[in-house]
Amino acid sequence: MAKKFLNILTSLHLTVVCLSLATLLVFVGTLAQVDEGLYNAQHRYFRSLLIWWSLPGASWKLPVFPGGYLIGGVLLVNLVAAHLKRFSFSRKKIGIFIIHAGLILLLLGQLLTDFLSVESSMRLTEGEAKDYSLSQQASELALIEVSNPEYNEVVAIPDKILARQKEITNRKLPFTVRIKNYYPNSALTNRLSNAGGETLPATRGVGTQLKLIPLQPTVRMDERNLPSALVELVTAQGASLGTWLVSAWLDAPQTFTHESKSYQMALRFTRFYKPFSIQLVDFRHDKYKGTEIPKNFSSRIRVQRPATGEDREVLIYMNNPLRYWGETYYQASYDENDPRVSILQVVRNPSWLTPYLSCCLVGLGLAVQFMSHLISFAKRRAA
Amino acid sequence: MYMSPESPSTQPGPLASISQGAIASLLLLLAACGQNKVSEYQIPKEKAEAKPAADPHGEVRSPAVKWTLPEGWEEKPAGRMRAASFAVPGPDGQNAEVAIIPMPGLAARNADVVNMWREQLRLEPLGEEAVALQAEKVAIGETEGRLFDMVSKEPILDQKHPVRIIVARMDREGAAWFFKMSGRDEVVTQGKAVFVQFLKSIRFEAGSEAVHLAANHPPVSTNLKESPHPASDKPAWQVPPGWQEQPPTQMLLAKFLAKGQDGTKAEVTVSSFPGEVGGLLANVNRWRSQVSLAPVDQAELSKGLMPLDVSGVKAMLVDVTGKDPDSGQKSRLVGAIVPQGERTWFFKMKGDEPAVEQEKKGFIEFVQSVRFPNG
Repeated sequence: MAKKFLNILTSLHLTVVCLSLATLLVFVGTLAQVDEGLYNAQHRYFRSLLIWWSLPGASWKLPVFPGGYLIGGVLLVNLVAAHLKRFSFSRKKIGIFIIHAGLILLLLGQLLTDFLSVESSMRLTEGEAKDYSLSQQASELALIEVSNPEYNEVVAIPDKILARQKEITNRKLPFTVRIKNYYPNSALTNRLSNAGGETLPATRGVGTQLKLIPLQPTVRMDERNLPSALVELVTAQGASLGTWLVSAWLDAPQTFTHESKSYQMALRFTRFYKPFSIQLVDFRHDKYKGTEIPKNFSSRIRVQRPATGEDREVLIYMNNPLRYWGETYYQASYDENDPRVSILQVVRNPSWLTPYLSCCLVGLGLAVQFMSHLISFAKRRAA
Repeated sequence: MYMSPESPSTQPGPLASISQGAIASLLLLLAACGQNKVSEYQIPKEKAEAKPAADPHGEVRSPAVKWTLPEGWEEKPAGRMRAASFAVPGPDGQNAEVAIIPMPGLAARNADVVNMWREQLRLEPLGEEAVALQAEKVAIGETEGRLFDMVSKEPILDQKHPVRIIVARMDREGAAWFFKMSGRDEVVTQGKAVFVQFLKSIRFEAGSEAVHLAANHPPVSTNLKESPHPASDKPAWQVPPGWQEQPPTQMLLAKFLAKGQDGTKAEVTVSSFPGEVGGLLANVNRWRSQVSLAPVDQAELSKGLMPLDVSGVKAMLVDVTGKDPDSGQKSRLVGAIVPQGERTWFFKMKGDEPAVEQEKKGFIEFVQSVRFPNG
């Protein structure tokens, strides 16, 4: 039984099946991006073990196709297993060995990239400095205790927990956070406006002046979801401190005091803090004369790191990112309404070198293999 | 892809343990990445640096109402529909209640509002003139408002005590604000002087409580060959000559000013909301109230409506003439309600009658020129 399983696991048939399925998956997954958007389609088709399907409105779902992780994982195991099974070192096969090592590294590297890489962005207006970047998708409810003159104590609750609409306790918080409602996408409007919307029972903060319009979550690449939530804070004795409307729409955090400590509360895009700050010194956005076609985008930034005393200027432009502190800062976007705004994409990818290494390995392996064939062929002819 | 030739030799020992190890480390990775934990961290205090000017498009200014709290009054949670609530102490725990209630877009006559509360007190309705005669002038902050005082003839409260309602009304920036004190007759009568003092202390602070909304426009990728058109969800349209584009406000996609002869003018606005936004009847009645017309019912609804074809969608054109609730001048409103996909679009022209008459043809052409982004 185990032997049969091993035979399947190491068979070339399995490799062919996996590659065919992967081709089909890439085709279907790419088409699906039209309707589902890049982010959702990537998650559903490629960053999953199985692809699920259900009828609209139905509570059940069926796995209909293997997802990217399953196909990639099986392919990886197949490759490693087959190689080990047939492993017998000889000089003739050294090229093939290197090629396979390159392929295994490529697959592993992609898997690691998928798991470990974090993408965020930093929006800077000229003159502005920031020591954090923001997630483009995920949000968090931040409760910040600001009483200490030296630092702020942050407790950040990710949106996935908020969406469960439960009660959240934390050892750093002297109250329970009760999520009464969570809206993955929403719009806010003034209570005095004629526009539609729900008047939520917020008792404190700006929410008492606002109405909320729940919206369908968007999947479009040029839009983003702006979540809102209705949050009640309850003391250990069960007394309510009030109910707040928090929203990614609101720029300023809402403040309150409890047990003579001051707090701020905000629903915001997830922040990734850094031990240094980046200040935008100058943003250039040149177009070809007489056209709207961009010629050049560049951001001159100043990196300041108090712990090391580092203070230097760097120019970031297309294809010339800043690599710093394990992160890569790309010139990504601009704001069409404000020429002073530059948006940098921040990518933390600990395995960014693996595709380069694996390409080199495969190239080297191919060269070795062909050269050894060529030499033995030439030798045979000479003999 | 697979290049090594098939070979019969098998070595399951090391293979099994290595593949087990690979699967185990894969599972470990999966487990590590599925975590969604509450995070705790410390950050240094943010420096009070001058922040660059805020984006003017992302801001809603909401007037905050302020007051001086009279002695003995207790502030209560505002609750739905209310800007503020207070309890005024009375004997036997029978507190009177004071509420501040803003009614956006309400242009109802005083008689309608007063009769609504008279009905609660089981009193017969009064005509507009009778209500006007009962109205007392009262200072609400620096504005002059109208105060109405009514008391039930029957003992309504616990079937023992008559109930009194004092309500003051003022109109401000398109909203009617009501300040209402209600409760047991004696308590309200005794508290009336304090209530009038409270009304004097009312202030509206437009700027202080500005609500800053995040800039909604998405970043634009510099990978694009051409700069995209602004606001991707804004439809394309042809603006008639002579209309001046005005800066849009929050929830308005576009705003234009059309000028008629003799200094008359009309304002054109475009807005869009998800869903049916209450349906046709509610929206027609909302527009009717903006020119001081009484609401119509479903049966009367179709009389004033004209179907209009907009980008292949059946829209409804509304044309109503009445009085401007603020100025009392003759005012006309021509509007189109366009259901498109999962949204409803509102195109509205409102203003002085001659200007609206002159621009109506251009307005209809404007609405019909609209091409929706997903249409």
